[in-house]
Amino acid sequence: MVSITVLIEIFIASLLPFNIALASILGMCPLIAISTNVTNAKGMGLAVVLVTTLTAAINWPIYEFLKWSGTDTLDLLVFMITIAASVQFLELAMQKFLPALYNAFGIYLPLITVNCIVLAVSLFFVNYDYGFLETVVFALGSSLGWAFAIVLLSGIREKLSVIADLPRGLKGKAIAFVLLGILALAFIGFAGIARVDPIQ
Amino acid sequence: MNKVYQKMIVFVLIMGTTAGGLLVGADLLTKNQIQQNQVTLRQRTILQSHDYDLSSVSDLASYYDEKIEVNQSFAEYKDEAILIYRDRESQDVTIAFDKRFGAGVWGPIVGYLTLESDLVTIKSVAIISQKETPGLGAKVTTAVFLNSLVGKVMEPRLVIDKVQPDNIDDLNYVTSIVGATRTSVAFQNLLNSTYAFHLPLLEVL
Amino acid sequence: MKKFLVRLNYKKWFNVLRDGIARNNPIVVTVLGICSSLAVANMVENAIAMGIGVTLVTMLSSAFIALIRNLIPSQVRMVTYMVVISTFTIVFEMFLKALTPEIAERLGAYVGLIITNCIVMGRAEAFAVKNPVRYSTIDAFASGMGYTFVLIVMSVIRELLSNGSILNIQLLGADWINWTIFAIAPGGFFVISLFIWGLRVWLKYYEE
Repeated sequence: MVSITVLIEIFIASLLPFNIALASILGMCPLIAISTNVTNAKGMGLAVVLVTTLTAAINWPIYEFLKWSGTDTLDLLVFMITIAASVQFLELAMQKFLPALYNAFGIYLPLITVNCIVLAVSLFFVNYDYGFLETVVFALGSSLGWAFAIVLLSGIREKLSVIADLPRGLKGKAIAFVLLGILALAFIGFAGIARVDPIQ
Repeated sequence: MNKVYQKMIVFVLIMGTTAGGLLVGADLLTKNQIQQNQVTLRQRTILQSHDYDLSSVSDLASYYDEKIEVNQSFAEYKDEAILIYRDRESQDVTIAFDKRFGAGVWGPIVGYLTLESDLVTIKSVAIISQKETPGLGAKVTTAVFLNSLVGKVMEPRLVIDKVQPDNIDDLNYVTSIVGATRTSVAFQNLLNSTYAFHLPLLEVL
Repeated sequence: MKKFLVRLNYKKWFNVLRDGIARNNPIVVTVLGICSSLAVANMVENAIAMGIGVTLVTMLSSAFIALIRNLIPSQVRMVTYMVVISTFTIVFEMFLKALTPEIAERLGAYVGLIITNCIVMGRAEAFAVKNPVRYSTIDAFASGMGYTFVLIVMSVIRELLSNGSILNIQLLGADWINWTIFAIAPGGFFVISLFIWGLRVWLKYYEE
């Protein structure tokens, strides 16, 4: 049985020093595209947290089954199918049962299928050989870390578009990259506070 | 509505089985050759870790049997046997590190750690496969880095860090790869846990 | 000669090719495929390997999807693209591992990056599913080339500054102190933003 300190350490590690957006540089496409204003960013972040944690929780038992039946080579394929299917299913379910929530951030759901971090979290739990609880905690921490990054970035971009007089070529995506670079540099400062593979 | 769903389900099923079939088929076709390549690579790596010159060797397998003694300590640890390779002449030992003992940043790092007959000094480190960031973490496979490990001592533990800490002896310290801190730390932990696991087995050999 | 060049402008395949590299350059204009380019474009040899890999995979998958485009039900488009792309890539990797293990080992890290590369999916969704095979292949080739071009330029800058070399040939003297920051993530961000800035000014494509 996994101890609570290990779970907390994995959570903090995936949130800060191993932040999946700023340290592992994943999930960039939607990060750049949706960070134009804070409201969109919050919606996207929330949707990503939901989908990532859900699909990680689903993929873990599926991977255990794949290992048991000896068909490891299919893992990438199977993960992607479960991710696409879960997103599709989630979208339909939200449309039907939680229409208010669907209106709030349902439009982002199809975009999440191509968000690198959903697949990456599944590949990471395979690599670090996590158990079920560790996977869920890791997925939660990573996706919250990504949401954190996109909200931070969108806040700065929103502010910058109002107060700064940027050269035409820099406006939009280019300045977003500069800001991301500075954020990534800042997050390097968290290095060493927690490990993603704690000694048990 | 129903017809649309029907068509969708049929399509997904056909696609899924075709893709799955292709993958399993390709796997079956290539599995033996891949395994053979693996065996050859492992034997060559172990022989080279013990400083054997393989340029004039024609039959690798029999040369390997002649020079290296393979001891099986456990029939199974996490689905694979624990093997210890010992050079028949010099009594240096080689142990394997792989995903059972730790992982790299993006995937498992597999290779061999060769120790002198005193069981603490590193004779050589070889890496067979890794999935680290090309150009950064992947520098862990470069001769420059691996050579920096030669002669270092695993006891009490190996430290790979940017700066040598005050309480760590020179012989236990290796400088980490510039720009690849995470891979360096992961590799350090991998080596240490592999060594800690094998040490009691080495001592009874 | 001039007549030939002018007439070229009216050929569809030429337009598709030119747009893919310049006007619709995946990284600079549509900003797709960023994840992998930031991680991989730190050294020129990696950039070339990744560029070739992405181009080949995009061409193959775009061609195949264009072939079956009339059979795919619209609700399962995304799943189809992913299955096609990942199956091609994984089978390709398997055969590489069996026939040329050294090359397979060098490229092992890229496989996952190519499968999740937005460009492959993006071209499938935006072009291959609506156009015949020959134009889809050209479009895929153009996108791949546009991507490779950006990757190579970025990696030349980053490798030169962080290692003093290009393709592992030392160009800057021995007393060059490596600006390692350009090899790691933040440096990648800075270089790509400058590159996007420069190319946008040149193409006069601005985002307001």
